[in-house]
Amino acid sequence: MTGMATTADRGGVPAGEGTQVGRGRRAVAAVDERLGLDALRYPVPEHANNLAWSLGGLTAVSLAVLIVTGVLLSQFYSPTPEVANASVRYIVEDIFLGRFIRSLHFWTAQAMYVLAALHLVRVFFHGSYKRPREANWLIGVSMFGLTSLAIFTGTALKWDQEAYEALAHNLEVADLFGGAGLWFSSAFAEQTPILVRLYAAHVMLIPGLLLALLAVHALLIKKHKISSHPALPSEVPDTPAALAVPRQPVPGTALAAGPGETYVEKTEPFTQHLRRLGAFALVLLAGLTVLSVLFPPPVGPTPVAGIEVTKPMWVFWWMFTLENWFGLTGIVWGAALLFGVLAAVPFVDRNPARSWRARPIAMALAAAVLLAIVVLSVLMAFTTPAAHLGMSP
Amino acid sequence: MAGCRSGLRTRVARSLCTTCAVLLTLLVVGTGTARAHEGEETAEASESVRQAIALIVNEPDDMDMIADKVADALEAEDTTGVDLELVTDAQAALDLDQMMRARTLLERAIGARSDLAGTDVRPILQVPPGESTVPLAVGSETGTNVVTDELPGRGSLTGADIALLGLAAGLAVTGVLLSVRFRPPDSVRELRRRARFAGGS
Repeated sequence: MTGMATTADRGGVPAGEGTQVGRGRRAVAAVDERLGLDALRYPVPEHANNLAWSLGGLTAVSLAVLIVTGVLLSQFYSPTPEVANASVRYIVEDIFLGRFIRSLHFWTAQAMYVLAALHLVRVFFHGSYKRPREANWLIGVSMFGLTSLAIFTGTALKWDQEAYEALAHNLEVADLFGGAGLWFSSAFAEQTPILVRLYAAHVMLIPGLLLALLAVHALLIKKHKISSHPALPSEVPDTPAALAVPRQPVPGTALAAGPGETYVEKTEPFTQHLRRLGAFALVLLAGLTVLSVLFPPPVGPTPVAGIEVTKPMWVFWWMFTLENWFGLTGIVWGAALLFGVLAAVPFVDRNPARSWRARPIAMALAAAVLLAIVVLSVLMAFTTPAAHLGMSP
Repeated sequence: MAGCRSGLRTRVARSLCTTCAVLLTLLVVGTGTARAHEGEETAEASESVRQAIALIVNEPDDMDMIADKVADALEAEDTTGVDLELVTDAQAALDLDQMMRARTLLERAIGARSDLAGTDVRPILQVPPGESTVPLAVGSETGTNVVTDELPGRGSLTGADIALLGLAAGLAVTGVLLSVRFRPPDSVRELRRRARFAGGS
């Protein structure tokens, strides 16, 4: 038996080749054999190896940075109302690189929001949510909602005036829902500071859901493959129209393309995509580092109930304007409308075409939604914070 | 084909114009009807004093709101734990535009420790004289005894900051070089050009 070393015994390297292959490669092969990492080498079309098609990956990189910085911050943060604000000041002033880590967490959260939004726009623009990817679109929209929730709960944790006013909005919106909003109200656990419950949601519930959905999102991408570019012929068509008939290679993926030329879109292993994503991630991290050093967020005054004098983070500005117009219900209806529309997209848009040129109605509606959010956000600059809340302690 | 594209562009342009018009109308009508609800007054003098201090810290220019809160404290039914004489002195200081003095007097009026620097808040859980325990906040209570000043985001750059900026520069250069090295053989533009030729259009 000892004289019959198999490929497996040698860590996946065929007998006789061991001397020609470096130790590093043999180690990778050994790990690959046991963990099946080779599954990551599934083919990806080369059009997906650019920045626009890497936005989802960069969102995931942001999540990873947030988890690392969040774990570090949680070692020093105290989620009790009396000392929460003071513990943030302690992190900023007394912990080595504490100000930077907190600032990196702050900026990365916003980067994740922006990247997720751009990823959604890219997917919409290329019609990548159409059959068979409707479920993955819904998962993506859910993850975008969870990202917003994570930013909201993170805002509340610093426990300054802005944080408390944001929390007060949360409580009053929960009241609007009556019994259905009980879990989000302080009445659910009266003897527990709601800050502690928000902390639990921020560090456990929301990231846990995000990671679970991310895993399903990635598996579905692998199953359905990265969508073809609507402007390019595809070897395996995935448009709704093409899916209606039995799958066959599209004649044209390897056609003569002028004198001496042939159109063939190459594929590359997903690991190559990961490499380029890693390169983009380095640039992203560099930008976030610069922002974190030059523009660290302040720590606001300790909160007092009963006044409403601050404005929320820019992510929520469009809701802020709606609230000023329609009261607290404006927030509820605005958020419900946005996420309702996003969730309905693959079911309402029955146009089989994926190119934006062939989808004028969808493009006009998307432009209207984006424009509305931008206009509502810009209007916030001209709005004075107005009291909408009882905010009794 | 050209006519079809032209028609498409016209439809898109019309849709966008209609959208802009609707949003503009909303903007004009909406800003005119912006609601501004006043916060509810509290019946406890101590809460009004704490709100007045918070307004001095957050909105020092809004003298009307600050004066209102101080007046609320003086007119409150429940004045437990508040030295009204000091609140009256604070009101006089506000009339003289002496904001810092007014804040200090209000803090003394509710027994809160003066902390104008906003940096010494860590021993906040010290048991007050004459009491055996600290009442901890529950539910949505703020737990705030002392309203601190804002801690600014950044002062002057430190050595660590410079090192981090240098690291960021290195990361950026490495990232750009690697992204160029790992770029796909053909750009999307090139693929589209070939596809057009292949399609014969």
